[in-house]
Amino acid sequence: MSYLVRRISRAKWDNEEYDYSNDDNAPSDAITSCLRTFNNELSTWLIDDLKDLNQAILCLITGSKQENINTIHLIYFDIEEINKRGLSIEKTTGDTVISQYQGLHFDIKSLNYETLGVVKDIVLDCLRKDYYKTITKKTLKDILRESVNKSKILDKSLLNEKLQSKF
Amino acid sequence: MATQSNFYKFSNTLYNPFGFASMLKEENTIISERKASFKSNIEFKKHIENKFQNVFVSTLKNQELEIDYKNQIEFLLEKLFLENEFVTKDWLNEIYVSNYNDTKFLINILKIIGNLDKKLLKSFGIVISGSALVHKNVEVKEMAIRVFENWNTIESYTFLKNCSLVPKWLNDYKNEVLANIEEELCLI
Repeated sequence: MSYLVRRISRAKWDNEEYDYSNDDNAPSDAITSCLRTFNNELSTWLIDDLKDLNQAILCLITGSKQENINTIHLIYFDIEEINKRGLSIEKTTGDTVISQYQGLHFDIKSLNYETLGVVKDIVLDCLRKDYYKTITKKTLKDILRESVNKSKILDKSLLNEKLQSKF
Repeated sequence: MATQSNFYKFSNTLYNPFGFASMLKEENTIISERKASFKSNIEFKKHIENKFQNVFVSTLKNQELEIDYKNQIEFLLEKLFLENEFVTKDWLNEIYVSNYNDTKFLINILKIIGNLDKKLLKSFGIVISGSALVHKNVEVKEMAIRVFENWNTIESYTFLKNCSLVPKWLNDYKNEVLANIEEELCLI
């Protein structure tokens, strides 16, 4: 089963004022911060199986502008949800210095007020089903080191210089 | 045999007026240098308040700073720290306390602190983040954990070890950070 992966800020969706488990009316900060579109599109990364989650994680932390390594929160959902819920995706080149993974990037496209609400429902479903992960800084460093030293999929010199010095 | 006049002479050598005068002179120099340094500290603080404070506070209250790369305001703050660490810390502490009610400000300042060199902030950053752990806002608490996580020190461990957080995901995150620190600092 293939999954789409997206980074979120869990605190915007699960906090002292909002209980995601029984309320579909997510706070506007969650929408405008975690679902901020550009050209009416939202960025996601595709993985063929959950065991490939590290691929998506690597893509999320090896963007050309990335300077720091910080704990990330992410959600993942079955790619079939896109069709089922009347959304559409398009394969585009992703912002990662790992050229082999650039093709794993998909934009959820042509979003508007209504369809952005559908994406919001997907996020809430992910949280309710626990299709969610927190990846701490230490784990991120381990993944980066592994990709440089073992699998050699990542050429460290292509990363932002500040990031290079952090693992 | 020492006569009375010889004694005074001896005594006078012990309390050599020339030596004492030079000590006094030296002390005066130290005092005047201290005064100069104190004055320059006051001036430096005024400089921060007049030239930097408004733009700093306004940025932190009105923008959501990116966590993955540095904002211009962070570079400027770092520069102030390098110029005068103690005055900048003192100023930042005052600003932090007076804006503790502003959630956006707190989240942003913790983002900045977490990305600053821990050697630059030392215990000051730990205390700030520790006080943020008891804030009611979940995002503020998350950012405080992130600072402790980034610094990865025994002090971070102590603070995190002694708190219990809600919601569950936040407490899970804290526990994972604790476990990572334990492992890295060989605390088990």
